[in-house]
Amino acid sequence: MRKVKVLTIKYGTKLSKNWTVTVQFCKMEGHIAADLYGEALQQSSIQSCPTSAADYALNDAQDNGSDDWCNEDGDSCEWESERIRNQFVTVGYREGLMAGQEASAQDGFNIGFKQSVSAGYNLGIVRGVTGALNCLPDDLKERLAETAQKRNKLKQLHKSVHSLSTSDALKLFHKEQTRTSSVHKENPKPDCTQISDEGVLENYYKELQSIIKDTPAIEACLDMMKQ
Amino acid sequence: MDSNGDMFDSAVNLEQTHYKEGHEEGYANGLVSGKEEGRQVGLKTGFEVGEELGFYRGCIGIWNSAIRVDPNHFSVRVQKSISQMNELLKKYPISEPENESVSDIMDSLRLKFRAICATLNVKLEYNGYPKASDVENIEF
Repeated sequence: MRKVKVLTIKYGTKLSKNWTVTVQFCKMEGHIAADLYGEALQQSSIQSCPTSAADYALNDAQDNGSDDWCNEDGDSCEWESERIRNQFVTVGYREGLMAGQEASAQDGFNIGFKQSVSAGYNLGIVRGVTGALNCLPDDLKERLAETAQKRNKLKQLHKSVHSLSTSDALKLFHKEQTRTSSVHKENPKPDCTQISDEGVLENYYKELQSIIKDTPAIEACLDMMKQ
Repeated sequence: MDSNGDMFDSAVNLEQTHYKEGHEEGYANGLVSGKEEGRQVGLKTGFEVGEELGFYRGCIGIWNSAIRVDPNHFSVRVQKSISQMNELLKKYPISEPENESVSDIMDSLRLKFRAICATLNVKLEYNGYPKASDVENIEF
């Protein structure tokens, strides 16, 4: 029997609409619990405790199909009650795990969303400004960005971001995020060697800002971009 | 109460205790893993939504700048569409992922954007911009 677990996270409250995000976990019911709970075990801080329910779940799975109780001398009854205990603990664990995931998934979604939305927004601004400018006729381009040097810089920036797909940008973002969080953990006090090391995505935005800074025709629209 | 009933009760209670024991631990672990799974999905969605909104913001910024230096460059109709897009973008609750208006506003933004691009005869989409078919069915 195949049991499919579905975690639903809402983006906006219209469930049937486009923005509903569904996370699916497909696992075989009755499959080895080590597989089912392996990840949870790794994350669990109590994994070293031999009496934890997850360990029962594991033991239970390993014992499935084993016939060593026949070989034991006399305490098969005790073993049997232990086995039944494990079964109930396992079922409880599994259902508790799903209920817990269901209860916290939306929370986690909102947290993640807020962590990444402004990084995406800034990249989007670079895409929009350089892209829209690129499509204007030359005479307008010249009136907006007066010097050839500026126009060249904006063109280069457009090339750079245009060759970067959203999924690649997301990978960069993930890398930068894990790096900054590990830097924070290792060096609670900012280290002078790390400060200059900015993220690639952030640099695109900063470069755009520096080009536009003294370009009055475009600069006016930058204030409005701050959200 | 006879002794058989007692035994039965205690057996059921014991099962419930075991079930509860497992459930509590599972729930605690589920809270942790569910939050992390959700966060990962949120990171992706937040980035993509932010990127799309920033993209519109950047385009509108440039279009408005162009209108300022040359008021006759865009037709009245396009100018009206641009200012409508601007209003939609201001209304978008970017920091409220559960707000129910987001999907409607995003739909309207995409329609307006596509209409403006078609009128101006420009192709502005980037690699990762939601395709028309994706808009109907976004899956992760």
